Amino acid sequence: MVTRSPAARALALELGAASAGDRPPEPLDSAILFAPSGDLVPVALEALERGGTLAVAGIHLTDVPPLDYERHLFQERTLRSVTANTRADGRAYLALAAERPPVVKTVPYAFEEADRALADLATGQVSGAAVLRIG
Amino acid sequence: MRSRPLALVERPVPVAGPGEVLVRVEACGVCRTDLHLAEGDLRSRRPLTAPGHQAVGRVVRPGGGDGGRVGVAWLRSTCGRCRQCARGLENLCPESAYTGWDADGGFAEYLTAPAAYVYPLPEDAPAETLAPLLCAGIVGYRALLRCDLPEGGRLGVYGFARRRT
Ligand SMILES: [Zn+2]
Ligand SMILES: [Zn+2]
Repeated sequence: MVTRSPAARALALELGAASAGDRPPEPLDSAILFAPSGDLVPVALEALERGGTLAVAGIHLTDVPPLDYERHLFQERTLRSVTANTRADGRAYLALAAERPPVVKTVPYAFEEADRALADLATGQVSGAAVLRIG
Repeated sequence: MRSRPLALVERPVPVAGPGEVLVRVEACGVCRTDLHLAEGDLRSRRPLTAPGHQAVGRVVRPGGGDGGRVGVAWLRSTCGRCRQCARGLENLCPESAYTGWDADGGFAEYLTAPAAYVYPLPEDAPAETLAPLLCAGIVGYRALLRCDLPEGGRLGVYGFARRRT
């Protein structure tokens, strides 16, 4: 788990991450970028082990700064995007989740508070998954 | 972000079209994509559309009966005929449509969705804990497949949260 947010670090450790901090302690075989920040692409590529793969999971990413071939891509490091999911992914994941329910830390909001939920997400104040209670 | 990108409005209960189900929403997850839409990082595709693509709810049968619990997620429909659909990559279908972007989503008491694209969900878990599985979970799972994690390998995950001042 790599994040600048102390709350997110604490949550990651609570949910079972091996470490949480600014930089990974050892080169990584694989990495997933959830943060919508293109600036992190070279950082994450550089932190990969030889032959490692970085998957960018978001639908939106700010501009990626220029990459240095040797530092960021050579040694067969791979940069990939992730675009939504297939129904087969959905079924496979939900079957796994039904068998072994994941630890989900939710932060509930009333239906009328949807605006506040978005604002909290924008400022990184949601420690967990924001959920609107509707019916 | 605009201070109030959302407005609470009264609308009639939607009517399920052919092949669709009507779902009474119990809970809906709030995802970063909803935020990108509210902030305009993703262009709106349809005016006055309810966001939300992690809806947990109950199918309301045409006669009003209960059709069980389902999840309505981001992928709303695909064409089923293009090269990508034929290759098992329906997520890349050029005609794919998305819940809360191309059609009203789960920030609402009711929504409709194509029956073939909703997921049956367990009855015995709170709706609130199931909702985040529908995007954070499913897309996270695809991301995990896409990052080729070797057996016993070290995985890094960047950014649960963003800080802005
Ligand atoms: Zn989402
Ligand atoms: Zn298609």
